[in-house]
Amino acid sequence: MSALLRRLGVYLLAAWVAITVSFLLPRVVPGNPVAVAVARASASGDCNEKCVAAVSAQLGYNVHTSMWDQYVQYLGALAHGDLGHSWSENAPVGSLILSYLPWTIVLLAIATTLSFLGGSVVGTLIAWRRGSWTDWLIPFATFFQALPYFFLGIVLVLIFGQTGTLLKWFPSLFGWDIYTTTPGFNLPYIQSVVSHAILPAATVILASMAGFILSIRNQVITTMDEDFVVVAQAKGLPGRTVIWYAVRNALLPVVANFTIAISLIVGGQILVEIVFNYPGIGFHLYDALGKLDYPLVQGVFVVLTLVVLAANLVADAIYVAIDPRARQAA
Amino acid sequence: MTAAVPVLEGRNLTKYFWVKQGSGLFARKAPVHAVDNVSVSLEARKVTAFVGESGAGKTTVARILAEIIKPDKGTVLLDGKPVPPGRPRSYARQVQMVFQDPFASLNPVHRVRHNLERPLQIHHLAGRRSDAVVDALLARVALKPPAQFADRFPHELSGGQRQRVAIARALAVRPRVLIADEPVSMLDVSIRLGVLNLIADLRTEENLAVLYITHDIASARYLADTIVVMYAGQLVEVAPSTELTDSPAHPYTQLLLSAAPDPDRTQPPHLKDRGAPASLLAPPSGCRFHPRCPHAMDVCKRKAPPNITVGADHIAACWLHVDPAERQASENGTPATDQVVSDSQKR
Amino acid sequence: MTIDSTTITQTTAPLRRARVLRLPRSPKVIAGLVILGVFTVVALIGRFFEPYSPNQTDTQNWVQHVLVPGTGEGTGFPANYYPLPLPPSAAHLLGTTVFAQDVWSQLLASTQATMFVGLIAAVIATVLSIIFGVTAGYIGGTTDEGLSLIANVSLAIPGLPLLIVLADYVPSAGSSLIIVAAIIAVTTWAYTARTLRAQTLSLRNRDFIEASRVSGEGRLRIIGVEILPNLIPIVAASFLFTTLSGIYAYVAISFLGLAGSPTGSPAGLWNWGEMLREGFANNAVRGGWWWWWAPPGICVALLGTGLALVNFGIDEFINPRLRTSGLSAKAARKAGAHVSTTLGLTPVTRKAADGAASTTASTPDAVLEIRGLSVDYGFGDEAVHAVSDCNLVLRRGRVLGLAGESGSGKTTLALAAIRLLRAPAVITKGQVLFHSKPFTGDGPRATIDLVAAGPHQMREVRWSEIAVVLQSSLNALNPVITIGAQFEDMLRVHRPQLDRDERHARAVELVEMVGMNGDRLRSYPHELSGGMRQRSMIAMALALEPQVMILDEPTTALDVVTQREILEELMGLRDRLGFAALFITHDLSLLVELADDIAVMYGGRLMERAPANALFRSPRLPYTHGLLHCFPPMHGKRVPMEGIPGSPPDLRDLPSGCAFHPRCKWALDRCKQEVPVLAPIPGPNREVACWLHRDGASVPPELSLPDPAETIRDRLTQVNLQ
Repeated sequence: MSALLRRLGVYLLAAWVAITVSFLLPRVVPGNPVAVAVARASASGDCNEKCVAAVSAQLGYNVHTSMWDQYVQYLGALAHGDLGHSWSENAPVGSLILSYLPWTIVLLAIATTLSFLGGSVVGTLIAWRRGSWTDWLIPFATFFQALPYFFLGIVLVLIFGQTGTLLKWFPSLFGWDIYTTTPGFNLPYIQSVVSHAILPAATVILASMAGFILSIRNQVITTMDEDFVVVAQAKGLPGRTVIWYAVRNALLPVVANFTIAISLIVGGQILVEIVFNYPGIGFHLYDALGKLDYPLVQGVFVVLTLVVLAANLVADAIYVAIDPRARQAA
Repeated sequence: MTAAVPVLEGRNLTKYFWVKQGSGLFARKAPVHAVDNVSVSLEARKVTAFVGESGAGKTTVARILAEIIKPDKGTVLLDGKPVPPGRPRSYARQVQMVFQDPFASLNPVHRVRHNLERPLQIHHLAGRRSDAVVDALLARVALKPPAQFADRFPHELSGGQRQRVAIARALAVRPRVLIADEPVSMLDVSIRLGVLNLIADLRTEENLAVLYITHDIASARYLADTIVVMYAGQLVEVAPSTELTDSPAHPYTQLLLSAAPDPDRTQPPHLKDRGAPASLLAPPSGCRFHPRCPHAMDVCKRKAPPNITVGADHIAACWLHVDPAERQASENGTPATDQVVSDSQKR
Repeated sequence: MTIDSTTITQTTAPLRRARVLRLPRSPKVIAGLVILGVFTVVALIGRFFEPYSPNQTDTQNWVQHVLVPGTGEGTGFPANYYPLPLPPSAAHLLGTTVFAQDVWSQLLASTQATMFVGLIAAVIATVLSIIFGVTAGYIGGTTDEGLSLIANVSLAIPGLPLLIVLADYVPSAGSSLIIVAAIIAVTTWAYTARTLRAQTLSLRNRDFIEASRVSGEGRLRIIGVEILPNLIPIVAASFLFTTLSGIYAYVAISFLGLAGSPTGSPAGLWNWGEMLREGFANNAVRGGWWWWWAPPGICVALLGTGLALVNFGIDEFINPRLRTSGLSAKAARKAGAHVSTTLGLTPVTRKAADGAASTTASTPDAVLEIRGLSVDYGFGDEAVHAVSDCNLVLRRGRVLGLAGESGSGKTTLALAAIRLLRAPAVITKGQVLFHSKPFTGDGPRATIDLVAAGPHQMREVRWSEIAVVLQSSLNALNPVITIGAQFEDMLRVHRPQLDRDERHARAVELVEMVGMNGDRLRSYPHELSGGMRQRSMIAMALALEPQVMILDEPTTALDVVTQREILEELMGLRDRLGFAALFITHDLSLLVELADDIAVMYGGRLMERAPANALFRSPRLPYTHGLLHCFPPMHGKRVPMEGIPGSPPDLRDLPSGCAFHPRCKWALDRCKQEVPVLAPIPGPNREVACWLHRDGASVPPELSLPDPAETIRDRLTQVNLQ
């Protein structure tokens, strides 16, 4: 338990660092990106005086209170869920993010789970049947692991996407069919949501699974040498049970190192959303960047960090649940 | 005890380690009584052996004497003068150590020569002649021809050879005290005696005071002049080696002797004991051995026994050897003669 | 007198530094190094060979001109053309872009910038992580806590989003390699720092570091000279990993347009990400202009693959279990072995499997007979002969001790007999006859050759008739499930007729039989002491009332008192249940009290076999004689003793003839040339493999003491009965 509490403490600290970085950056960078942004905001026509004032306040532009006061105000606003005002969409950042978030989270959750499970199965298979044809999967997995996420996305679009040139099976742009369906609980909409999610999900899954395959393979090979696996075989336990003994232990370090895996997957998903114009927060981050809508950028960054930290906390809790040695504090 | 000033002495050494107890927000740190009021003295040209099971505290005492760990209480004296804590470089010249695991005591990325030269360089002992000195050291531990060994890496040597290199490294600074922490436990049986004999020779040739730590009483009897038996962080018996094995005074020593393999036994060993070694987190009250002792009396549960002289140079910490009248007196709380009151009672 | 351990000639063959040299021989690593090499060369000198400058354009000749529909002749509008890239040709190896620029030149320039950024980022990150990790690991205490906190926080914040935000706010960063690299390094250093810290921590507690401190070595020198060189493999692996991360990060932010542009503002460099961005933003994918968008992506993938392959090699170097030497199916087939890929059984060469069954009659009450067993590690020329030609008989209800030092082959022999060794071990010769007469249950009632048996037969016999207790109890129990669950698993498979409560009751009965409390079943292995774990192993082994128990150093890791208790219990159980025990140990003095018969192994061969008391009182083998004199006595006058000069041989380099001859003080000329064979000699159940006892050679008096009249166990039992 105390191990989990300590991890929570680290995550809270990380969240605080992210928030503070987000606060400081527009105020301390050289050049004048903020001035440009504010200028563009007022020139855009969507943003009236109040909106410009809100944006300036958030970015610390032309504000005459001390840095510390601004900071306290910023933290206070955050605590109320006020993440600022997006001038390009003329809406509060918070509500914008809430509408983008489900797309990202659902895709992320599905992709992470499937790639982990798939990677475990394939990695275990390769490790168990070492020296057989399955070893040929290793160079493939290495290559796929090395492919950039967005490149793989582009290739999949080319082959399978309807805007591509070969098979044209699946849609390759947007989150749903914006031309013929309307959002809501109707079947055509849900169908199109699913079909539009297939290629992005496949990209993330394929690219992430390769990494899991390789690391789990290494772990299973190392674990198979342990005495308790030998003893399990000596006990005449059926093959399934022996494999389960080995895998159950081999997965522990992989779960323990989930932090870095999550970081990579999230990074990759952002790029995939951009390639597919998939309406998650990754895509909108990119969109906001192009428009210099810094409040939105900041808000997305903070929320994204919180999502990642929450995912890490879940992974840590799972680890404590599956490794009895971690439950002892001493 | 002889009247000569011992080369290295530890007086009333006590050391606690802290471990976390409990979980969550209520975790506390509790002390593990690794070493409790242990006194030992090492004399030149003599081997003293520390015997006990794992967790008895022998290695901790060794490390305190080598000044790698600081004791919480007690002092270390070199030639009768207290040594300042923290390990001054001059101490390294006088007190050296050999470790248990021959595969871990030499840095795998450096050749033998480097391992032997470093002590010479640190203490400015050889200057330009270091090659010759290294060769001489290797010859002294019977690794001949020295040139063949000096340029090898540790993984190219056998376990026994590595242990000899470790001894050579310890000897490089010509110390006066050698602390050997289970030097042969991880070696093959047929080569252990060679290393032990080497230590015995060096003791005589180099006038070393040797502390030999082991869990194997037979080898302690072979090599050492005096054996000290430790249990649960405390001293329980001290005696010349043959006397200890012929007439053990403390029930724990008797237990150890009956448990050790002995093909010459005429009677099957009957372990007069049930129970696990004492927990160092919550050691039993009074005499720490009383839960396992077949002769435990009431007083044993209440008060820690004093150190009683039961023979020439033979001390045992056991109520059995205290005169019944005095035992009664101490139960009643009145001070008696010939008592060394230990700190553990005052807790 | 000091024993001169090394004037005895050991192996003089130049010792292979196998670990270092093996690295380049693996095809994976070679492929990886080649790929890396190519990219490095191109990054360094590629730009000298670029046919054009990457920014150079020729809008007339380097693009196709396609007429915009609805303009030109006959439409009334002036002809308007839109450009299309040219496909690859002799003049443009990778064609051109829609902006009339040469792709190949852009690729060469991009390779340089991308690789440099990746390398510089890796250098900065590695230096940072070494400083952080090693300091935290070595100094420990609050410094460690503080630095670890910083690293953990840095690790928790997702890298790419932070990078995007940082790059976004510093748009001019894209023009400077160093700044981009620095920003990337900040987001990637933490992982390596954590790994290095963990490694330093484990090194710090190693004896050689303590030895340095004892020598008086200063802190800085210890870190620099003693610790750092040991970290090199990990630093190398992390360096490669960080380079790759750096390259990905750079490509990603360039793709997003955050790293500036070489042809626009803010200024930036040509890199793979930039090429991809241009292509993607200008419909290269849909236009089918593969020569524009594919090469940069493939470059990233290739480079990544190359780095990963080299990393593989480093991983195998660090973790020897990942090496596949001797395992490949091809090598096995060449050597004529069936290598079972389901890892349940020790493989057996076809030669051995087909070998004619030995026709000698079995000893009447033998339960396990090993005949001429030979076991190798590896195949072909590199094979190490771990066990050669061993004959051993285990009699029903008796204890046979198997003694030997490291490299003697005792564990290999016992585990190979029940086919429990993993590849690269392989049985090359011999039979193991198991004469099964089960106590309970429905096991086979016949003689089975375990070497020839298949998986199904082995599973019938394993644990229910032959059980194993291994040395390291902490590793022998599954750490993540309770002891009770491990009993449960086994009972469920072998005693399907019992229901859950009955299984639990049986488990309780078993642990109480070995002196443990029943509610210990709910504990996890790490919550028990070493003695209790070993007791549970023994209880598990006895659960199905096996006929044979094989115990491999079961008490070596335990305290002498616990050892004695457990052995007493074991012997008591043996008396009650009547199983035969094969007890393997290096401690001969223990066996003398425990065993009925003792067999001594050396250099992979059986050298002597005799009843325990006879072996102890009147050894016939010089090695046994020497070994017995290695145990200082507990009584009597103290006299100097000699061990055996030299050390046990390396199995890869056995001496010719009798493996013991270099250390034997009675060695004959014959001993150097011919391998002695185990043969009976006068005396009850005595066999020895020594030329001194054959063909009329004269036997030294130390080796011809008379046989004692009774066994020790008899003597001790008699005392008990009185």
